[in-house]
Amino acid sequence: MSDESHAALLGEVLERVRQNNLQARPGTPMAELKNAIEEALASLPALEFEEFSKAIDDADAAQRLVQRAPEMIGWNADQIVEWVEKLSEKLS
Amino acid sequence: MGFFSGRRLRKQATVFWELARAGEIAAACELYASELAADEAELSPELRATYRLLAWIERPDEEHEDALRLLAEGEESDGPVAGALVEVQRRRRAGALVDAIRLGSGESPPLAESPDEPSLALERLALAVLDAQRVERPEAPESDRQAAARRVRRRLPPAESLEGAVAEVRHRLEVWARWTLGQHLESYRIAKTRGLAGADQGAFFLAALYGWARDKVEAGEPDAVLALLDKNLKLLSPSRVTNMTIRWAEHALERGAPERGTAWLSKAIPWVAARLGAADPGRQALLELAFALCLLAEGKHVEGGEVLGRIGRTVPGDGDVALVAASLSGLSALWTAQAGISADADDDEGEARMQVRSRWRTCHPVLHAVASRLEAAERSPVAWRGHLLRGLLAYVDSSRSPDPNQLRRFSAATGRVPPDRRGVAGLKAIETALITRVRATDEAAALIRNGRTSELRDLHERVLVPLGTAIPTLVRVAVVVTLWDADRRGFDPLATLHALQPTPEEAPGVAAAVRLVETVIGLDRLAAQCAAEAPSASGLPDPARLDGGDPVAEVAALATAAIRLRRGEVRDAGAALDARRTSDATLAPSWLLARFRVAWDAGDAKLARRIVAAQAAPPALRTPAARVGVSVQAILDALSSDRPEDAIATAGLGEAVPADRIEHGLVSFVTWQLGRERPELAGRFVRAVRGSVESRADLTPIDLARLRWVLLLLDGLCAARSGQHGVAGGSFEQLLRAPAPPAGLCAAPAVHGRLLGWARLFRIGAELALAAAASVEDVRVRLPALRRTLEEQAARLTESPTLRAYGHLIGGLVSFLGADVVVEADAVARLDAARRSLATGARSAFLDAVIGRLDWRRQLLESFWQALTEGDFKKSLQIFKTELEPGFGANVPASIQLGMVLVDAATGSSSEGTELIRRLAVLEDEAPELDRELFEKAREYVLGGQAIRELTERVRAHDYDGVIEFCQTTRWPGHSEGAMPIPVAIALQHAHYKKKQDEDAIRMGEQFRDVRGFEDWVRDYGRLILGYVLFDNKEFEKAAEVFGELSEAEVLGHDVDRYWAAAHFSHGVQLLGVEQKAEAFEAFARSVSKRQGSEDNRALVPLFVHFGMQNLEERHGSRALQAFELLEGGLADLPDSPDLALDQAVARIGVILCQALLDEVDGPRPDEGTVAVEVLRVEELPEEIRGVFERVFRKMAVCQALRLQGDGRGRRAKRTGRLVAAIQEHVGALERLEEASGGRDPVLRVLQGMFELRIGRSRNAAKAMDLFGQAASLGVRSRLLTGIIERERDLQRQAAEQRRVAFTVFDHYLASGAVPATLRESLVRNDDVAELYRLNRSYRPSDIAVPEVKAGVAALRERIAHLETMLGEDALRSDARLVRLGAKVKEELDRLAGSESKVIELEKEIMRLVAAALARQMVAVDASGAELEEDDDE
Repeated sequence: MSDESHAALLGEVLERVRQNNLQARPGTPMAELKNAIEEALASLPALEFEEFSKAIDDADAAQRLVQRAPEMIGWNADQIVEWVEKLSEKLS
Repeated sequence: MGFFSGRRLRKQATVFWELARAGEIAAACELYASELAADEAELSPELRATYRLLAWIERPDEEHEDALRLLAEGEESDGPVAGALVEVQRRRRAGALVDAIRLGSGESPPLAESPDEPSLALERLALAVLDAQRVERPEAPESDRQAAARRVRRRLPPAESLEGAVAEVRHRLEVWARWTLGQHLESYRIAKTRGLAGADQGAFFLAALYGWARDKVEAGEPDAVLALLDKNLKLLSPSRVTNMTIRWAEHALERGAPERGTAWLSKAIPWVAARLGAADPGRQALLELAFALCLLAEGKHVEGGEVLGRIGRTVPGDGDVALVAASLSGLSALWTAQAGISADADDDEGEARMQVRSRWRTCHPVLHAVASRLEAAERSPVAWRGHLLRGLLAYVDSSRSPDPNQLRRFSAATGRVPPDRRGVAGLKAIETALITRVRATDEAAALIRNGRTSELRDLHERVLVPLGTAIPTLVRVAVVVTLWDADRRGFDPLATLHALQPTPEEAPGVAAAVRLVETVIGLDRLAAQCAAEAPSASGLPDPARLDGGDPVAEVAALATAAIRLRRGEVRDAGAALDARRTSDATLAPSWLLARFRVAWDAGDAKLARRIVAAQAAPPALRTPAARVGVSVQAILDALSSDRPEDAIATAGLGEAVPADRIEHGLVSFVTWQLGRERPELAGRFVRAVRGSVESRADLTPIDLARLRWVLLLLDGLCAARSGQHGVAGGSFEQLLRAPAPPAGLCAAPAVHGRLLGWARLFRIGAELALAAAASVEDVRVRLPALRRTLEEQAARLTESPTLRAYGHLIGGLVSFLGADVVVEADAVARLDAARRSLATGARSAFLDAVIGRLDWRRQLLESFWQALTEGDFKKSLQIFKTELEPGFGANVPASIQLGMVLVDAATGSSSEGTELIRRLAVLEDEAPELDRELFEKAREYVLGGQAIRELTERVRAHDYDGVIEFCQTTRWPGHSEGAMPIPVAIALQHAHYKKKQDEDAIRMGEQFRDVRGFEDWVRDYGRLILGYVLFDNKEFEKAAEVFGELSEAEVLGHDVDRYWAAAHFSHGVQLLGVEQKAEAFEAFARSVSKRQGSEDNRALVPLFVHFGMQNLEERHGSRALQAFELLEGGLADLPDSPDLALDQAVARIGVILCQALLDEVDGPRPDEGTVAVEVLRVEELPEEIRGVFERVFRKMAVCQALRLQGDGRGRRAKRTGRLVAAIQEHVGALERLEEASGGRDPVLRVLQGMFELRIGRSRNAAKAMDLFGQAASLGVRSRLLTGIIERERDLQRQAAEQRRVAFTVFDHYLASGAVPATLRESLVRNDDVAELYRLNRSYRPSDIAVPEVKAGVAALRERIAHLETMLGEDALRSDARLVRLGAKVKEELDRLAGSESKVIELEKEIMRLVAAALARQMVAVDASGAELEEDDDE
């Protein structure tokens, strides 16, 4: 087997593998990858279309504002304590 | 033999001789066999010898030589018969030599023993020829040739001994030997003088020249050779010169001196060119080739390579010289590749390997070119070297496999290598390896092409892997990739591929394989991450690096984007999608969906809207919700890009929109945005709407007012959420002051009130946030004001049920921030309740710490006041110093300051009372809220405390006069004139006592006794001092009464019970002194009876024992006895207990002791040992200590007896023997006690020793000394005992001297030889004498008793016996006179015998008495100190 035959043999092998990879039939890398891509995109969190509709037409918005204003802006008891904690650190 | 027979025999003999002389050997031998042999015995020895000689010549047979040897025996050695034998032998040796020379066997027969001279010369010549023949082989070693030449020279006969042809042979041999031995010129001279020159003169000259020049070349003298050649150049042909020049260099190589060859040729080649011309390139090439060989052999491969290259340029390519030069070039390159690198270098991957690879890369093409050149010259005799080299290169270079023809030619070439060469075995191994490789490679290729992966895997594991790098790299890659392609899960090809070390030619193939494998693996990884349940953070392959063309890159990019989206890496996902847009229609929906997600997440509203509107949009995006969603995104996009008008328009809140809808949409959008953590956008929206509203003229004032209120609220919320605390605070402050909205969502009172409450809370929050963000200095400056503000606002919050918890929370936290705030329990509880109701999460730990800290501060204050209330001023002081003062700093509350005045007054922390009074005045002025009465009481306390401290200082200084004066002159706060605090009164009474002002002390003590209402400790202290005073004044009865009134048995460490008993006892003694015995003993009895409140009187036992023992020492026996009897009586009625029994025993023993001593003085003489016996009869004595008492009292009894012995009364005791018996009894008992207890009592040994030495009938001084020695070893140290021991030793020395003198006399007596036999026998058997000698001599009496020397009476009796025998003879028996005289002599002799017997008896008795006297003398010496002395009583 000559040296040229070695290179030819390897070329045959690599080409065969390459063609196998490009096949879209089940079990080949490309086919599996396509399926996996569709699965990945399908598994993304649902888009917030419904949530976005509340942005301009939310009947409960005023009620929520009246009841839970501190939570809405994050100025709840924890936040107050945190500010005092920072103050105490500066005073200690 | 008959006549005729004889005549015939003679006749035939004559014929035989004639035939022999004529040389008719055959006929002569035939005649002898037929006519003479039968009568051989009749023939002459000479004739027979002649026959055997001729017969041997005719047919050399050992039979004839043997027959001749027999005939020669007995004949003369120089006779004809012997000569015949010698001739046969000579001929036989000559024949053997001739055979050896012909056959060249080298076997040399020995020389004849005594041959004639010519024969010997020939034989030696023949042997020399054989020697020369033996080494004439070309392969013969030079050393053998030299040795043979030396042997030839020794063997050669003298030249004159030979003639003719043999002489010439001899001369040629001599020439050869001398030439061989290096005597080249001499060899030429001999050839010339011996006449050998002739036609061969030139040959001999050339030989000599050749040899001489060869040696010169070897000796490194090329110039001499060239000079000789110059001189004889006309005699030499060019070819001969060339051959000799090469041959001389070759000789140097053969002799291992290539440098000589190099030196020679480096001069010879130019010389040849100059002398012979350079026209013949073949000659020049030959010389150059020889020169190159020498250089290569010398290791100068570079120079050698240059010479070889020159040959290649100058001679035709297919010539043998050129081919050999080419072959040498290849070998030189091969040698260079490996030169200088150790084969066993352990650093396989190190420098050596790198060097080899580098060199191999250089020489590899050279070797292949050489091999090709050699292979091309098929008809050349060196062509096989090309085949060989080709195979070797294939072996080294595994990337190349020889084809079958090359492999076959390589096998044939290996057969051309001489079998004795070193590398043949290696060549065979290489051939085998090449065959194996070729077969394995071919098989692998076939399996790959036929898709037989299972068999390929088997071949790979079984053959290819073990062969390793022997398999061509590309074939290995093909195998590995094929196997991996067939089983991607179970095979990892990358490790193998990365480990390969391909040649530059192979590198692209290997790299392509690696890239392809990595591509497939990358696709698999992408698929796995896409399909994974949860997105992973692992790295992703770069799509651009994946091999496989556009389809692969596109799908990889899309997969990468999908994975990035799942990870939330929107920007990277977008980049991946932008890099490769898919051209695959089946992937287009996925690509659009991914792109929409990227646009959506990135806020690219335009793109999102475009994708939604696209026809190819996936179904998920073709919904109304999607359209709304992208509209909102458009609003946000407009806000983000500062297009508020667009935002309002898109939201539908623009012109002509009613206020209700604006308010609703505004609140919806802002709350939604706040929920999505986008307060800035919400704020922009609020400001945009505000601008829109304010610009509208169609809105009513009511609408405007409601919208403004809502906008103000939402603006504050957005600012707060954005961290714009100042803005937020301003908005909320403004909102709190704004009028209520007249209509709308916030107009309802409940809603409005709730929102105002939130605004109030948010205003506090804004202040807190601003303060928290301020610098430390600002915070400290602003804190007091901030606290006040916060406290007020927090209080406002508590008014609203909804915000009450916040109010309590903020109030508690503000208290915490102020370290000087007095914390109340309710405040802590409210804070705790707020914490629970507000359900703090992340900050609950800090809040817990705050609550704990506040509660701790509250408890500290409580503890401070509690300690102050309980008079524990030190604790109050400690709390203040360690906790309150650091916490309050300069803001200590007035109440605590007042408390600290009291603490300082009590603890003396501030020694100056005036300072405390001043502090009280200041405090009274600064704290008008405190009750004035408190200050008055504090002043009294301070002043009183100051007086107390002054009094205390006097007491501690024992300044009792000062104490009395201070107490009497001080006006005590809170007391009337003359009154004083109780402790002061106690101190005063004590001072009176110490100053012996007994009346005052007693008066005060009586007051403490009589006045009701005092606490017990006051009464006890006063009574204790009163009792002391009374006792000192010997008012024992009253003292006992006062002591009896104390409430405790022990007051301030004083044993009141003992004082009470001592008082009674002393009272009793007092009564005894005035002879009121009855009353006295009543007092004693009282002292041992129960004191009021006491459990029993056993505590008084030590007092009575002490009293008794003290009286004993003072020789007041009766008082001592009374003490013990009282003690005994006092203990009689107490309940039984082990301790009581011991006390009772002590009392009883005391009584016995006293009685014994009183008996010694007054009563009759007690028996010795009475005390001990009586003590041992005490039943109360516990068993566990009875032994101790017995030992003590028995020793005491012995001492008492010995002491009495010393005062004069002991002699009577001694005479009666009672003393001895009593002491023996005590000593025996003590010995038993000691044996039982296991101890060693030194006192007992002293007693035993004294008893052995001085008391008793059988005294033993040696035993006494031994006992004294034991006592000394146990620690006894006594001056008296030492004196006794010294005296005893002196006595023993004196006695020994006396015995020595006495025994010397006795020895002389026994050794005198005059002791009669009977007396001597009696003495040596006498016990006294034997004992004396045993004790005092090292020999027995019989050893020195000399037998009696007959003399005196014995000799006389012996003579008389002889005389009587003589008188009994018949001749004299009749002589009456002789008879009478004989009778007379006999009579006298009998009388003399009787007298002698008596005298001997007397002598024996005397000697017995002498022995006894000596024995007694020894005893007398031992007992010479038997009399007890006064100082022996210890």
